[in-house]
Amino acid sequence: MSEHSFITFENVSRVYRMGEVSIRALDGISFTVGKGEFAIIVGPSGAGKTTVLNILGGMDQCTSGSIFVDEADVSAMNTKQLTVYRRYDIGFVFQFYNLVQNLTALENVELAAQICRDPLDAGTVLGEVGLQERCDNFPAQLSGGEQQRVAIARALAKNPKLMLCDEPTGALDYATGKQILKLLQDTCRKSDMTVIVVTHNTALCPMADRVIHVKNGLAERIEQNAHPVPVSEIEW
Amino acid sequence: MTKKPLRIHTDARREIRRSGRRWFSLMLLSALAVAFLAGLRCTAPDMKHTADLYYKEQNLMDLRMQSTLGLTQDDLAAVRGYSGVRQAEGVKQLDCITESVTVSVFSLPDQIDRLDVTGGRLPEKDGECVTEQKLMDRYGWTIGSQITLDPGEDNADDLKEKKYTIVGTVRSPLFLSAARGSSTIGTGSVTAFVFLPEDEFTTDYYTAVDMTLDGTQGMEAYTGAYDDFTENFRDGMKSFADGLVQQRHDSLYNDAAQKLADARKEYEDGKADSDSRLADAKQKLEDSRKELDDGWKAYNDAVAKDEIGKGRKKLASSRAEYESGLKQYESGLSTYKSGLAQYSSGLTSYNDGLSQYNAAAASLQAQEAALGAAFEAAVQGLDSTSAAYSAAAAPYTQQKEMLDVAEEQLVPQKEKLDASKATLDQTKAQLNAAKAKLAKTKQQLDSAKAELESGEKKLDAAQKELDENKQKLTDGEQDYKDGLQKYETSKQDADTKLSDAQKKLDDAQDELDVMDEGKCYLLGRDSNAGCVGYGQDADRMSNLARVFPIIFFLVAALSSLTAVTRMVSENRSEIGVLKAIGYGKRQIAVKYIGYAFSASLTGGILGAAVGCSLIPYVIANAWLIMYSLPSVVYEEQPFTVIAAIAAAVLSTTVTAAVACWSELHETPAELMRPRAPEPGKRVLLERITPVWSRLTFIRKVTVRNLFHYRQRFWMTVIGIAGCTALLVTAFGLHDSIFDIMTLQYDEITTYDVMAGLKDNVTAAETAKIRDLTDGSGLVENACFSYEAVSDTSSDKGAVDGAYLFVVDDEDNFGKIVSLRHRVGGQKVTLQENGAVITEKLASLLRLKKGDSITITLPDDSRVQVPVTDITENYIYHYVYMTKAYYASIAGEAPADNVLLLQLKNDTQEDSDTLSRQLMATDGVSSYTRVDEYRQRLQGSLNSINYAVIIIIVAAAALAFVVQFNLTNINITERRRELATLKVLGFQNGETASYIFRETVVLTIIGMVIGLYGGYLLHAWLITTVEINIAMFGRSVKPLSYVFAILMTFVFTAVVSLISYFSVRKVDMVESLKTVE
Repeated sequence: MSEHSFITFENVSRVYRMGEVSIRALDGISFTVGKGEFAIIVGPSGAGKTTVLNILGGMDQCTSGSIFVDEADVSAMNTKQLTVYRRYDIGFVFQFYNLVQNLTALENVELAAQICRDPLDAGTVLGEVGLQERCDNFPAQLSGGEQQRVAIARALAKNPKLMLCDEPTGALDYATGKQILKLLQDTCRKSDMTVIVVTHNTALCPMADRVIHVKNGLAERIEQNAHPVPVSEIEW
Repeated sequence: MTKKPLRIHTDARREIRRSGRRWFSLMLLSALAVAFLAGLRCTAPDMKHTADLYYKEQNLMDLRMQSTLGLTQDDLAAVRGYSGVRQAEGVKQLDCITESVTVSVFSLPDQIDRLDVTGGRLPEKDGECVTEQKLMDRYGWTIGSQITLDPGEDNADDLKEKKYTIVGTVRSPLFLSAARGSSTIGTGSVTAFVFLPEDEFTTDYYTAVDMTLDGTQGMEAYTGAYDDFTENFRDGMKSFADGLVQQRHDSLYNDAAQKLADARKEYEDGKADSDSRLADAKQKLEDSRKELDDGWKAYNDAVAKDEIGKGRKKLASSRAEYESGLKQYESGLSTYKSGLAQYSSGLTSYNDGLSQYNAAAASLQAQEAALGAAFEAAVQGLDSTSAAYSAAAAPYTQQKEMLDVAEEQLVPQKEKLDASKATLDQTKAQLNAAKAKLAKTKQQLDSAKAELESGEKKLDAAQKELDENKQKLTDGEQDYKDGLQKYETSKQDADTKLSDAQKKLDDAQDELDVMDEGKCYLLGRDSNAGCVGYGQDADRMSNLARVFPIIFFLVAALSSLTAVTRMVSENRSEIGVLKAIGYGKRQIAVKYIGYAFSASLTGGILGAAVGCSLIPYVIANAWLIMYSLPSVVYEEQPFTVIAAIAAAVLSTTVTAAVACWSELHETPAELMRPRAPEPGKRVLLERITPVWSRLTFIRKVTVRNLFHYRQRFWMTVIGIAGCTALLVTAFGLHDSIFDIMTLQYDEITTYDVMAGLKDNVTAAETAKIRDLTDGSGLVENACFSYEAVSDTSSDKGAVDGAYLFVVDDEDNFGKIVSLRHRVGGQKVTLQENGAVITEKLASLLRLKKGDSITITLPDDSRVQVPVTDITENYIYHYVYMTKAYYASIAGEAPADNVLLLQLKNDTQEDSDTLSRQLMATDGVSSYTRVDEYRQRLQGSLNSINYAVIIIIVAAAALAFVVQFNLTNINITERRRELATLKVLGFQNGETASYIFRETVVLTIIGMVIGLYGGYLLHAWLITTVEINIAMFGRSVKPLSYVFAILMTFVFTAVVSLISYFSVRKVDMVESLKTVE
């Protein structure tokens, strides 16, 4: 693999055991992502995209194979190391935002920032995602797009090496989704942060530096865009 | 820039605020559990602490030295000097009768066992006393009333006065309980105490010496340390005490021996004196005998000589002479008298003849004169010779002749007359001579008579003298006889007196020889009925507190476990997020652990505060009905309180940690996904087609759901079962305690009155009593019986003070006392080869039918008796046997000493009437109305009931909270399901019933298990709270089960109603929107 690949998946498998049935969510997938890239993992439902993201984010462990992130062997980490890894290296954005309902927008961001070594100012980040005015609102008082923006701010504030987004627009309308994607793309460009987005929407592929097509637990095809298209220019 | 709080903590805090109801119910569960656990557990120590403070305040003795020989001033000084004795004080005690009851009169304590004045003041001068309120109430006395104390004949002079003025009421630490001990006078049981200043007692010895010890001031009463310390001290002091008694014995022995010697001397002196006096008397008697004998001899001699007889004989002959003289005289006299009469008649006839003669002479002379005259007259003219003359003279001459013849004729007459006159005169002379002779004879006779009379008189005098002598002698004889008798009796008297005295001396000697060695008792507080009873009752509370609250606690813990588990699983995805963000397990767990911790700690502290103040207060004060102590004083019991709080906090927090940990163990990815629902399974019921096919769809769903959520199923069932069990137990305790009163007094021992009979009551007296009771119209049944108090034992234990009843007429007895088996209720009959004992006695001695029980008879002999059967009984212990059997073990049949009466109407009025009648009858010594016992016992049972009420309230509260919690969880857990149902078009009611149908089924299952559990728990618990003299009911009344069921259902209903509003509030859109 290229020496400046930031993320390396080598022959990674993940088998879920559901009673007597084992489901191979990943079946020896291999790919790399370079540092500062905006990568999209795309594929149909059940292809294993989310599993890739979960394993990459240290939220799940692979059954076999190895994963390196910034030269660290994530696949070899124990749960404690994984927690540290998640804490310092990963920012996660979920399809259903998963904000802590008891905390305001600002507090949700602070919640994440407070455990990091070099966090960004929560208020500033919220400003960057355009939510200065709503920072004292509770998640229940925000719209879906706003909640997702809080979630992104929460991920950003941690100043992670890697930002992972699982269908960030899945629960949002077209326009809002577009805004969110723009926010992610801009962040990637501005802060040289590696961003990986999982989506089933192939229309988004042009905006990424790298597109990994996943199918049946394997990287079916990896594309590299020399010139990614800004989100605003993409229609779907 | 101010440091912002960690947002993860902000979240935790907000969680508490947001889910206030859950937090509150968790808090409440902890509060209840801790309140109950800590409260009940603190009760016994608080009770003991209260007593301890009171003991210290009143300076209760640690040890009491009591000697059968009494203790002297010197003994007291010796005890004071004994190392380790802090204070010692002598106590004088005397039982007296006042009004109709026995009171114990004590000397007023100075330092030890100080009295607690509850009214008035302590005695300050002579003639004053203090007593207890109970006695004042009994007789309606007030401070200032006078009380008469009668110590009985034997000790009549032991008190200075007879009457004392009550100046105050007191409590004594020696008398905590109502028991005042027993006495040898009056009815035998002491009713109250009275305290007098010590110098009111005239006795010179102390009944007991009370002491406090060095080193016990710092110890709590009823602790092992205190018990061990005093026990050790007592053991150490034993030989010293024995020494004192030995001394006392020796001095008493010497005194007695001296007295005996004096008495013996006195006896000897007395004997000598009496002997000499008797000897004198005897001498005198002998003298007088001799004198008498002499007298008799003289008398007899005199009688033998018979001078009087002779005199009399002479006298008689003289008298005969005199008599014949007299007769002669009298015949002479009569001859004289007849002569005289003859003479007189002669004289008369002479005189007649004379006068006749004279008259005839006169008439002749007259006739001659007349004839002469007439002749003269006739011749006067005529010559005397003339023929005329002659013629005339012829008649005259004739007549003259005739006259001369007549005159001639008169001459012999005259001669005759003269001759008779001469004879007469001669006779007269003769007569006069005879008269003179007679007169002389008379004179002679008279003098002879006089002589005779004087002789008579002399003889009479002699006779009289002799007779008098005889009389004198006879009198003397009588006197002698009397004297002899007197002598004999006085000799006899003296002999008896002397032999009595000798016997007394011998007895005294015997007594001295076998003189009581004297026994010294060192009695600690563990021999004081009040102290021990109170301690035991406190222990009983502590028994109650040992296990019962733990079950309570477990139910509460289970419920909070469910709540916490639920909360954690509800927050599953949030945990996932936090994990994803990079929070460590510990940081995440803080929220849940903190949540549980804060709820349980707050609840724990709150519960401890309320429980530890309220529960001991209620229970301990309830015991004050039975014990005279001040109101409860709380003891700091950090250990109990902290342990209870810690238990609550730990159980809740650890549950949270465990629940949390299992969630945290999963990867964030798994956590983010909703937990895979448990795969639906067919339940067993589905296989039973006939049942299953009949269920409506919604019922089928209910059945599936029930078995689907296993954990919730068990949680709910166990929770409800626990609560129902607690309720059943609590109600059952109440039943058990209160049933025994009715069972005992209305079904088993149904007599209303027990009248005591005097010893040696005669058959006539009993017949009279019988007539009285039969005739009073108030008595339904009456039965004479023999009752005695017996100490019983077996090799497994001992029980003192059981009542031994000897039954004569079993049929009649059976009307009044019902002997039967508790289980099954069959009648128990008395056998001729053993005794029937009561159930509690059997269980305390661990005896069963066929075993042997050892009982003491009134003469203190111990007898082993086979147990032929065991009978139902609740209060006190009884041993029943037939008269024949008793006679066979005791050697003789007992005389009836009690009369059991069943009244037609057991009213105070009837009872009083009967009491007056009976007490006025010979042979009746006492009269007791059973209702009085009953009331007293009721008081003591009421105290236990307070604890039971607390349990009922707590169990109810717990049941409510548990159900509330479970239903609440059920609803929140199934929000989405409910929302979906609503979306499908279910009405609120239908939606709610979807949940509640399950709740009802679970409640019923839990309840059934709970009813059985309660039955078991009750059966076990009842034995731990039981008091020794009573057997609490062993069964729970059906009504209590009903109450428990109803309460559980009511709670379910109330909880369901509250939950119904929660169900209504489920917003279907909100619920379906997010994956939670």
